[in-house]
Amino acid sequence: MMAMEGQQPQSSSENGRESEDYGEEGREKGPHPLAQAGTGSFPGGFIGKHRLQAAITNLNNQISILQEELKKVETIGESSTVCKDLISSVESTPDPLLPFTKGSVDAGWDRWFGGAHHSRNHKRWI
Amino acid sequence: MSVTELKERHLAATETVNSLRERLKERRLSLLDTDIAGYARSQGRSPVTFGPTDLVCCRTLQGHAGKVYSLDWTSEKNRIVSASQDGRLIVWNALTSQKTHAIKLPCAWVMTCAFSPTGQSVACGGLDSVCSLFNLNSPTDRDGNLAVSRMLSGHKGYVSSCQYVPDEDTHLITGSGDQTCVLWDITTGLRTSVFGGEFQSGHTADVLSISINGSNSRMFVSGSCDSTARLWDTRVASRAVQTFHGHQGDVNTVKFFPDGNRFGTGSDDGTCRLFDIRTGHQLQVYHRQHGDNEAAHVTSIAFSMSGRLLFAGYTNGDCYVWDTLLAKVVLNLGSLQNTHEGRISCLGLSADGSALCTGSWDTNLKIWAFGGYRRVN
Repeated sequence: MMAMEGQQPQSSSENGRESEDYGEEGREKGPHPLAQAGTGSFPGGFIGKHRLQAAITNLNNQISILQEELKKVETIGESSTVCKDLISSVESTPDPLLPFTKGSVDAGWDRWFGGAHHSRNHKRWI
Repeated sequence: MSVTELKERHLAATETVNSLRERLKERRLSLLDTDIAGYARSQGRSPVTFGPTDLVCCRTLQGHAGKVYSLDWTSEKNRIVSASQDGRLIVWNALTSQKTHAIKLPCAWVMTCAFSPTGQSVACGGLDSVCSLFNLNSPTDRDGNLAVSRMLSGHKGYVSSCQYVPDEDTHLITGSGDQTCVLWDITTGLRTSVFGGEFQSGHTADVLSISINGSNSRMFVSGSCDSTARLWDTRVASRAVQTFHGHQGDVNTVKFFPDGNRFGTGSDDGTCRLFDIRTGHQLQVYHRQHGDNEAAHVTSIAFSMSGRLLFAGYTNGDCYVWDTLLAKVVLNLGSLQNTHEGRISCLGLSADGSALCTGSWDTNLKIWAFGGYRRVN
């Protein structure tokens, strides 16, 4: 997303608007594991105990979420099933912006042409 | 426990997270036996074809004195609210091109705006980190300005996006540069729930866009500078229902598909993507090669009523009309007569799906509608 002219929207977060850095093989080159977890350093270079504990708690939460997701993934079908469902959903819905449509045409769709537009004879006054 | 032991535990947990992510990625890839375009082709579908005067610009809404950043339609079809760098919100009757309200904002740095479901109020937010609400029925002051009826304060970063919960004028959701989304109770002005935040399983960078599911308003999706989109359930604020990976740049825009079972995204990586919320599958990538040039960033997306068309605005002024099923660009509104002269910054479809509105850095909004012969199947 682009910043607004004349002023940069500043995030309160340190990582702000960074894009991920990808290595040669398309793998994500993550930052140092401690930096990744949002742990801060004290002036002496020591990482605060409470911050480390919070980061570990956060990682453990992530682990349980990922384990749950792995279990869920075992039960889901292949993408072709979803594609079939998507196509039938799309093709059964009337659409005013398409050159073809299902069912009857709503007269209100052509209100943008001020009543002077008739799709039958292609005349329009804009 | 010593710091050294904690560091070791931290390192072990990080390795576990990374290996689980890798396993999940591999498992998901093994289930992607096809994308939509491949499947649609195998079923004999062909791309939508538009005649040269099928989709036409039938209105230009002129009145802003600065770049247009955001727009939203009312649910009763014909009104639009737009937000501009000129520090104003303008409410338009899109049918007559008339302005019904021009609201001077307390903070000119506006980034987002939204209409309430009843059309009685508008909301906006920006660099002041506040979501301001205006009652369009309240009286104006001597200078014709409308006073703020409610200020929703609490974000610690800019408000990038806002949307009222469908069928309720009492709740809205905001996304912010503070990495969180918030569900607000408008009547009290208080936060009902905060989604994400430090050490929660939320976004790890600015939230840029949100979209509430029209079929199930408890679910919403957010897009972020962390290159992910996340699905949330308003009843469970502590963690995202699911995180969707794939983009390699800021996710600038997210929009639910009309059926509510999938959503689209647009990113700085120049691609749009379609994700299924029930399976988590990435169903399609919409990307057009631009030779050696770096791909233009996607700023905003919208789906047509059936979902067959995906409208995508780009930083270079293009507005591609993608055939969602075949992943082909079937039209570029940016190359048509009477088009914008600058970046397309925002897009929105009217409630009945009969018109698309585009907003641009050229200070104008344009209404596009189907003006050709419509074949009824």
